[in-house]
Amino acid sequence: MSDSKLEEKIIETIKEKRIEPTAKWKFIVENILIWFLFAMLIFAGSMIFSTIFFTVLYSGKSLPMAHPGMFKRIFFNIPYFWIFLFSVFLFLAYYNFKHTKKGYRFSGCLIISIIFLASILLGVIAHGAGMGARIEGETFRRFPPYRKIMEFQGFGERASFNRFERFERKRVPKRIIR
Amino acid sequence: MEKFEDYAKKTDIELVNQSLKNRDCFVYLIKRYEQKLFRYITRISGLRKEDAEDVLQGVFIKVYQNLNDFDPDLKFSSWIYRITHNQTISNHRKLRTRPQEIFVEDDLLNNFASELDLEKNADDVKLKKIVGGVLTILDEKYREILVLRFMEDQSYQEMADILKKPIGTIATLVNRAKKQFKEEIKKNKLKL
Repeated sequence: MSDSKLEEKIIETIKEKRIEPTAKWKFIVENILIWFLFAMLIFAGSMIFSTIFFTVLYSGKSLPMAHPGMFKRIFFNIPYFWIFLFSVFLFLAYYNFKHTKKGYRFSGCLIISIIFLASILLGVIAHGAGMGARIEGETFRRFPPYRKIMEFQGFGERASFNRFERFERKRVPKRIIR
Repeated sequence: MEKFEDYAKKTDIELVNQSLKNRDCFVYLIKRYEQKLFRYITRISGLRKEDAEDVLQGVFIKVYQNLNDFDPDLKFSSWIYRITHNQTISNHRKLRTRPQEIFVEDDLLNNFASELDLEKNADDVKLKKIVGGVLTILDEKYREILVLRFMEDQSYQEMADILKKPIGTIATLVNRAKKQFKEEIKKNKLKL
């Protein structure tokens, strides 16, 4: 180390430049924001998952005429758009969690599994509340690129409406019973 | 004002709290860590003395600015090593330097010898040179792992906190680093 005392230099610099420790509340707010964003990402992921449930559970019956082969049916029934969107949110939630204070202590596999399970669990609840059907319907109506993808997969306006109707028919009796 | 001896007895966390109240107390934290961190910077980066001192100065200023962010669940030494590591690596990548020589002290040679199956004999000077030389040619990620483990004497948990990696990843990296170290000795036909 050099002869000139480093500690004196540092304290001088701190005094000269009037450097102050960053206030504790700023770190607390930053930390809260990171966790809030994580919660939002999980919420968004579960909404997307509820849409995946809806599209998978209520699609099959509308397709046999258009795609008779079994593999073709499966191929055209996969909700690529939602799976892609879910993957993006899964990655963002993972990235966000890794940047929490202790996120680095957990392995990537564990974090992704937990996010995945939380999304499935909340997604099932959201699907039960009709969120998946609503999101899918709104996206179909308001987002033309999605409509094009669906049309390519054999879901025109008619098929989309039928699917929603089937879902509603299943739900309404439950409501009446209650 | 308390005497220097009083401060020397204080724990790191006590000194952090004192520094937040009175910036002059930060001197005692600097004094406690400057030698260790200076050595660590030169070992992982190969920076010249003046450059290493500049990095160290930057480290302490960053530490001072972030004192309120220190999490007492962590060891203070792990936290300060983490800041030093990040500051050094970002500086080091700009300069793209590789250590020319890493000096291995006598007491540290035992760590290497026992962990890496090196035969210690009378010619320790030669062995120290070989160990120091091989460390300079290792991949950066393996060099920093071996430096932390055998030269800075950090535990796996501390290394995990410094490098912000899961403890399992640290264990894997240590094994790979040891393997690469042995391979480099073989590849360069270094006789021990």
